[in-house]
Amino acid sequence: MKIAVCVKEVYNLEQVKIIKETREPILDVPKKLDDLSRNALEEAIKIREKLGGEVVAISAGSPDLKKTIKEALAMGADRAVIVTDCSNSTPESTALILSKILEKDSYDLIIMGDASSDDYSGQMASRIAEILGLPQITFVSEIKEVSEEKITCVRDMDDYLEVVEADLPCVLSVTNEINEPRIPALKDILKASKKPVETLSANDLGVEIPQPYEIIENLAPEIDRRQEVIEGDAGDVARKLAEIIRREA
Amino acid sequence: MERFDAVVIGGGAAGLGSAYRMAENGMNVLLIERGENVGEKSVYGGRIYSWVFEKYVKGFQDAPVERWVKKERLTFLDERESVSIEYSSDETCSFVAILTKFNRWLAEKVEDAGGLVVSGIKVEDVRLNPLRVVADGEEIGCDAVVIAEGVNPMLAMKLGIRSDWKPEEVAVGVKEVFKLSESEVNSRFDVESDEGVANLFVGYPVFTHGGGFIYTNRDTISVGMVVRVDSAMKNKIEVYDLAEKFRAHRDVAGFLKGGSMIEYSAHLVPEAGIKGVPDALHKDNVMIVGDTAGFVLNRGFTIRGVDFAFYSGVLAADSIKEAMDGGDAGLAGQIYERKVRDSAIIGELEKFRKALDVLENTRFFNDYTRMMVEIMRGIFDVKEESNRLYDVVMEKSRGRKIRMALDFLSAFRGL
Repeated sequence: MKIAVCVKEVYNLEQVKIIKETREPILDVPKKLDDLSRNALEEAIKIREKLGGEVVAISAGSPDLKKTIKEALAMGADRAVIVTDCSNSTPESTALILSKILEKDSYDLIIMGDASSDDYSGQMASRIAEILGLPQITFVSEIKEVSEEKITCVRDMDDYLEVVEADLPCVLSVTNEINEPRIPALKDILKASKKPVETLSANDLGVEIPQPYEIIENLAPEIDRRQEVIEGDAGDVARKLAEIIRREA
Repeated sequence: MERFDAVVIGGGAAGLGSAYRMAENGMNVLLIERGENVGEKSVYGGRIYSWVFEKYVKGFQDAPVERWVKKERLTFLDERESVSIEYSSDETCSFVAILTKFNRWLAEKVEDAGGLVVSGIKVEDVRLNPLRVVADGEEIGCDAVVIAEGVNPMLAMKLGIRSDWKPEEVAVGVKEVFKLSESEVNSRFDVESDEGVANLFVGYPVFTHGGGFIYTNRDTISVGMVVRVDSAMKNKIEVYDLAEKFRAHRDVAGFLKGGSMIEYSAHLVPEAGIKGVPDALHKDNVMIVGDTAGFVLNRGFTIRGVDFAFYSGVLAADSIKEAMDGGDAGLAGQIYERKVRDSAIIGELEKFRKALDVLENTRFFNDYTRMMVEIMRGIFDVKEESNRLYDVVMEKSRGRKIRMALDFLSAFRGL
């Protein structure tokens, strides 16, 4: 079984600071592998553990990818192919780039997160399936069965679950319920440093990156905090607090 | 079992210096950092003396320098007034940097040179005979270990290389970073975009061992307060309260006005000078560097730590290489001991041994700071009549001239 996992680097959102007065974010923080990318990787590794084969991490992003991709290798991907000159590319060009890489090998399964925690556009699986002419199963919350020929998945449709079967090769997008991604141990991280990483440019792949969309404004949501201090002894405070909760609930 | 020539524990300036030098020398080195990202546990005031990076780091001109320090200011504060001494020059020997960013850049240099940097992993133990590092339940074999674990010497203590700090040997510092804009920083501090200011404060609100600082970053400023732990305990002061009072002082508040606090950090700083350096800096082939070894020099108006940290890392790396080249890797610890004792690190710490006694004298932080302000008030306060400088000085120093003369002589000799 040859599995490609499309992963994405994102800003480590926990470290992003917001300037209170202007609500602007300060994005000068380290990047990391997106959480849903980890879910996708975990699922691919589980399948490899069961059926054997190879897991290849594929990503398009900034030069920082050289560092972030190591997280995917430490988790257990066997090798990686990265494109490092397409920060801020649109979902359309990213899908074209990833498809070009995917075309070069014949993968049985292509797995990715359902959307990324930064832009959350959620278009990648469908775009790639369309470009490559493959079936797709989105919102996968469980893989019920997988063989060399076929896969059966549970789709989480919010209000109901759907069980879908498809022939391989096939594109999957997974939700975070599908598994608990493993945390690499030191020996995995050391091993990862020896795994091959192929670095390409969009140009190598013959994809032109159009002028990325223009960001007009990027502000944190306004949070209206009352910041009311209730004073008095414990009994008083509790009574006043209960009153406020009752009034405003 | 994985094997490396050397394992470096800790991804601050000392560990990175060591790993960088070894990687540059073609050695097989592994650096293990406990924090999620390399260098993010490092906290300091804000200024780095550049000589060591200019000497040892290729491509240093691309380092993330915020501003080069072109103005040095020493301010004596009392409750409402201040006296500042400023030295301004086009020549510079130090820069302001955001240490986490600077460390991240150094870590990239290590990796570019072929070193392996791993973060988010805690080293549990270092075992001797044969030398191994234990982390994550794995044992990693190596010829030498460099402990660069910072001011909390857990592993160094476990191995018996050093003892824990006493309250009078360390200070606690808090630092806040305020966001302004580049042009605001320029105009408030009267500097150009590539010029920076280092401003140290004595007196208010500590009036004992410690003081305040302001450093200009590109579009933010770092403001903080340091107080020696024994003084804080004795006087029952919380460094947080001090920082708040300091920020509100008229001579500090003006710099911060309208700025948004985007970062808060606190850390311990070794303050014992040469007295904080243990008798032996190694055990077998395990060496201690940087803050773990106590390599911080405070002489009142300059504080050196990051340059010594990096340099001690380099010396450890060179010692390991020398030992390996000589055919007996096991001698690295001894070679390091000798190299450090012969180096400028111990040289400088020894040279300023007397500075410790001067800075021990709380009169400099309290009486003389207040006096300085009072004398200035005396000569600049012009109403119908004004005061002669001589009369002001005589009045303010009444009854303490001899003690003062002795104190100032000791300061003159010690600092």
